[in-house]
Amino acid sequence: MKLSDTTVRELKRHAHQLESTSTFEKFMVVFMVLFVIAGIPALYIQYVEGHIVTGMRDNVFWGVYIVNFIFYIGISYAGALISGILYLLQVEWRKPIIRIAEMITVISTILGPIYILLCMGRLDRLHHLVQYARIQSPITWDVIAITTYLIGSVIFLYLATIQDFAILRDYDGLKVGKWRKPIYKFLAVSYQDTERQRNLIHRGITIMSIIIIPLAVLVHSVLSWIFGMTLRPGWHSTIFAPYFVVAAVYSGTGVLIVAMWVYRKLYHLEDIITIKHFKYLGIILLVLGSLYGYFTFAEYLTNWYGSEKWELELIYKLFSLDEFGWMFIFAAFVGVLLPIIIIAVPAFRTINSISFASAIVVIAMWVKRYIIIIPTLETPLLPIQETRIEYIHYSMTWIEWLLTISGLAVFCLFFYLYSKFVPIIPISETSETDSKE
Amino acid sequence: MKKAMKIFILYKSGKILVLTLILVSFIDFEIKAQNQGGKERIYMKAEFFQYEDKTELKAVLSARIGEKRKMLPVEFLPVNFYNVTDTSEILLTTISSDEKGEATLLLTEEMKLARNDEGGYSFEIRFDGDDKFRKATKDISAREVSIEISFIEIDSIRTIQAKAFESGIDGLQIPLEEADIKFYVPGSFSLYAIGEASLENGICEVNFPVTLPGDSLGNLTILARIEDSDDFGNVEARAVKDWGLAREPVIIESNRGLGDTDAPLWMVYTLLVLLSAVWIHYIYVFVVIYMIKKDAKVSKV
Repeated sequence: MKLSDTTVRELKRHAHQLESTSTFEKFMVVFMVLFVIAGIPALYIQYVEGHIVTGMRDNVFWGVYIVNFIFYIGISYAGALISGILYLLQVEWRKPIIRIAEMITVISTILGPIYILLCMGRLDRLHHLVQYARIQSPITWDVIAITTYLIGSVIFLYLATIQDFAILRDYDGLKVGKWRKPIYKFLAVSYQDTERQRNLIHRGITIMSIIIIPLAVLVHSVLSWIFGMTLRPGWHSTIFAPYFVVAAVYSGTGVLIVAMWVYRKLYHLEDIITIKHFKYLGIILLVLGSLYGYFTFAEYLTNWYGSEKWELELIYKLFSLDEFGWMFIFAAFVGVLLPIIIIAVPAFRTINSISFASAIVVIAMWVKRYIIIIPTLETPLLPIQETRIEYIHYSMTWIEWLLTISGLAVFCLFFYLYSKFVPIIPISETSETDSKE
Repeated sequence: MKKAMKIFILYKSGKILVLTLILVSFIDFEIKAQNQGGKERIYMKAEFFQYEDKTELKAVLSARIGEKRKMLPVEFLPVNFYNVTDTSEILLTTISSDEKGEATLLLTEEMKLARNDEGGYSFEIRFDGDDKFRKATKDISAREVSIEISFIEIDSIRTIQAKAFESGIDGLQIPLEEADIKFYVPGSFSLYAIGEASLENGICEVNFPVTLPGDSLGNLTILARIEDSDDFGNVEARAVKDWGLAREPVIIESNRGLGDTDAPLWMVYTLLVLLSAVWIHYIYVFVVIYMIKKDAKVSKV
């Protein structure tokens, strides 16, 4: 394939990202690898000793692993929805950020289910999920939905990267290891940038953009139904599916903005990822934050007004500062109002402040998942017998902390490693824009 | 005038403040008194159970734990059980409290328990204290009692009769007086009370309700109990009788959705349609990728 001057110029602009590794990057990689390694003994202890080393017990049988699972699956949807919608609408400013969004989708969809495996007491019975699957079980819906979604996300990311693989295959000036070329060649599927091939790629991405949007909504709805289909206080709600979807896209958009800020600093993309991208995504964040706040208010107001015994007990726990009150304030007020204020007031709309607001959103949404799961499990319909305190209240053990941090390190590491393999800014997309200009 | 008012308010406020401080110091003193030497108080409850096949002595230990001072069971505390008379005190055994705070001693004939002056048994249950908890003691006495259940049916009126006897020092069975017996039928989650009667010459009766469902043969378990008696503790006897209504096996005629072994058809169809819709598109995209590859070969030719 003959590369145009614009393409070569664009590639040269981003080549340093693939060719060299700065001292800071090396330090960060070592730091993340250390955290990943630190998780290995925790994993071994949990495997040998069983779940007694976690905070999970008979009453609170789901802990932070499920919190992490929902969190990662949640942030994956923003990537799919944002890239899908922006592609369909042919929004021009999407181009520099679309690959970051797609990467978030794929990496978090791979990482999320790993926490389900950590949460399972009997991994030797994993195949029972398929062997004894019941179509009427929300768990089966989840297995089917997440698998289908992961495959779709990988196809979407791959289709959008084929042209860049071809560029990397055909550009001889790239100073990278020789082993990479055969991989680029294989992944580029002999793409030669013919008119027909361009049309085929465009058709494929359009189809995937259309299919990935309802799929993302459906998958997170199914995830919410694991809770919504059970008759437990705080979970059995008809608005749980849309509430989950909005919260997922809200947190995912937050992660996307934080990732943009990091890559912008790391690879000096100040002239490509500009204030415009942060402002536009900030406005999306503002709309989602308002929606999320509205859903939160509607959910708790309805439950509180109904005065149903167990719902009230749960609400008092969430509002009590001795129990989950501070978490609730952070997730429901700080995590909504602070980002809205920062983004709504033009004077506060700087790259750093929008990124800070996004980081707050991400943490608040993790806390929100925690207070969806733990307080409800501590409020069963049949009263908990007076028994050992650790059986009534859940608290994370160091094993769970370590495996949570290890997971975060894996997420960052995957993100970084993929950016060393393929430019984080889609060359084919940006060079197309440059040629048009 | 205003100045005088201000002085008056200041004087009143000062007085209230001083009174509050005195009150707080008293409360603080009270809390310290309750929590001597930083050790928590142990609340101990003792219970005596006489079943048909075994006799048990149970201690339940609890304490106010944590910041919220919630009453919770305390486990792993050594509890000593003593058989006491006016002249002796024999250590029977030491049992560690379990996660429910319970330490249960099974009383056997091999223990050769000494009787008290009333012909019953007296026990002292003791926790000697440790670094965290203060010592606690509880005394309990009980006389040996047995209950027999019999069933009488005259002119289709069904009656349950209970006879209760106390075992005397010389081994004689003395009819029990001045005790109430409660009758129950165990249900799935709790006991269903069917009557209560006082013993006269060691005998009492209650009418049996005719509407209780039994198993497929109409069998029911009936319990007769003396509960929380200061003299006898808890005594229980049970018997099975086919006086219940025979239950027909439950036949589920229609699918009950999620609770059934088979998924509802609408759900199967919905899943198939949704999955097919998604996978047809995936397959089409795979074909697109194949066509890209194929087109490259054609272009080369």
